[in-house]
Amino acid sequence: MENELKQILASVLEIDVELINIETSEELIENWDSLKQMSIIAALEEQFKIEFDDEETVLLNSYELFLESLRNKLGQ
Amino acid sequence: MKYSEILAINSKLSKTQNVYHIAVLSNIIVNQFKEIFEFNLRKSGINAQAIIGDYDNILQDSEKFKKHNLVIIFWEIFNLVDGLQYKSEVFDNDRINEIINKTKAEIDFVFDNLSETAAVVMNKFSTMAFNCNILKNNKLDEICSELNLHLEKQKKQNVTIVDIEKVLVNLSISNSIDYRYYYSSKALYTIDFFKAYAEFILPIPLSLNGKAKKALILDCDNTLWKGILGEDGYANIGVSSSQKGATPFEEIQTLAKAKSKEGIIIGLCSKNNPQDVNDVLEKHPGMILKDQDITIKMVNWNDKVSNLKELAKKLNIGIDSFVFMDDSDFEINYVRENLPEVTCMQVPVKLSEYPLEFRKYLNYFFNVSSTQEDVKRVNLYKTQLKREADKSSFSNLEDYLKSLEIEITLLIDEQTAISRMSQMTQKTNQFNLTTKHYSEAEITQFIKSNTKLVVAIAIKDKYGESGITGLSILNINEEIADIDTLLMSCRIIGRNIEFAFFDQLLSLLKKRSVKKIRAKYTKTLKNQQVEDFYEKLGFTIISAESETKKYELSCDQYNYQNINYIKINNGK
Repeated sequence: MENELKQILASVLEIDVELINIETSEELIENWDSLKQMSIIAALEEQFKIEFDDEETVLLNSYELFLESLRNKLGQ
Repeated sequence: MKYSEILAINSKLSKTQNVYHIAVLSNIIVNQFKEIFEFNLRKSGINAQAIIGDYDNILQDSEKFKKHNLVIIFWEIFNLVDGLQYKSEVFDNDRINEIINKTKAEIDFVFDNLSETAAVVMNKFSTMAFNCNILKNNKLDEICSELNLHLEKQKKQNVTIVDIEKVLVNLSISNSIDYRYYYSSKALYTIDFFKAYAEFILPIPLSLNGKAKKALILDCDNTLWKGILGEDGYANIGVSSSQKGATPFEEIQTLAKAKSKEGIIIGLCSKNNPQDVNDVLEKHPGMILKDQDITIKMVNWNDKVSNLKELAKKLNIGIDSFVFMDDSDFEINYVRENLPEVTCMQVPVKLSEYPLEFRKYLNYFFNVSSTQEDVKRVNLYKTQLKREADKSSFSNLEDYLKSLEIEITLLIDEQTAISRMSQMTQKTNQFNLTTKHYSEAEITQFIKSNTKLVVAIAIKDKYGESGITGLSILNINEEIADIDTLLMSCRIIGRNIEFAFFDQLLSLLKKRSVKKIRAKYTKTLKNQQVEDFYEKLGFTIISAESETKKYELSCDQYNYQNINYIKINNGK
């Protein structure tokens, strides 16, 4: 699951998957804007067949936060 | 394919040459459409680069992006005024009319700005996202109908109106609309919608880039009729709605027949005894599709891959312009594996789904505009096959060519041929020196221009008329002429027409005091046969790179080819 999350972040943000780590966040990545945020949410919802609520679509803006949320939603 | 995979692969498919520029204008957020649409085009061999215009900036963007190859417009009724989907209910009639009139004026303004753009795709206005549960039409629907009527009335030649509701219906509203994101960021559509929409409109840029399909090749048993001819016999195959279970086949045949009248080549590729199939085509009273509707047949016991290759050779068109239909798992897989450029459709197991599936594949034959040549095309290919057959009786090519009694009619800056000339630049791939694609709007500009000469040729021989089948576009700057475009339809190749044509072009240029001609050969996957065309005419090579060769010729040093058995007519 971590790999899929990293792949998705890498594809949307157009960075090397190797560079995604616990520090990766909207603050740190220059091109991570609201449009990229939308794409990340869409890709994750498609990949894991889950839904983020209105708040989550905005508040989850780092690799760490996404990882935690996915773990909860997928019961891991 | 998943969205994240599309993003990853799309960036790998990007190239720097021959970019097809697309601009997407909208009054909502549609950013996720970019990569999805690029991906669909890049997969099909078109190096698309899409730019999304600024949010709610359709008017300004129609000026900014008017030179792009394709402009797509998402103009959503809900955001004509922020919250119109509910505010319209409490607006009075004056306010409603104000909105309608303002939007009509804006539509006119946008279409005007884009009048010279090669192609514009405009989505019909739709209220479905919010009104699909309402029994009675409301004010929003009123606005919608008015605006759609206006679109139909005002649309110009280069505008294709797309019924977005067809995509919504196929996908369902809940799968297409993201209300969560619409309320937070005015992003109305889901990724799934963009994928379906991209697929739906794909035939438009494909046809503008010379990639529309040209030939529908059908198997016979359980594809054209119910049953197996060799086993069930002539009397027992099911072809008409009066026979049990055969209605889908009647529908398929009728749709195919209609397409053949529009100029699509219908061919057969079947493992059967040829005489058995001919009997059905010529004599069976229930058959809708008859022998005269079918351009070419490969009915034998050879493998279908060889047959398809042979068909492509005989028709002299790329095998990538074929759609192949068969019921057999084996045949479909065999062709898919060996001829990946052929689009294959397998007859569905549930026959009731057959006609609907078939209609989807007919979209591949979409052409932005149809011409006279389209209608005559089936006959043209048939006469060509006849020519080929007769050719073998001549021992010497020259004698054969003389016997054809070929006539070339020159059409200079001919306005009535604009549609056909534009179509040729989009469809002609083999005898094409520079492969530049031009829209009707662009050809019209060239004809109006003082510094450009547009010369088309119509060909006739003793077998009949081939129609307008050659084109040259020349840029004239005082004493120097540049050959921007020089192409000939594959159906007139091999008769030295190109040499007679060039003699005429040279005479025309000399009359206009041109002293020097410059030309270019741009290599593509399909035009190798003209690699040395300019060398044959006596041009000097001035530069040669891997993909391009540049040439020069002094008019007074040109040796006329003098193909004296080809007659030249001037004018209409």
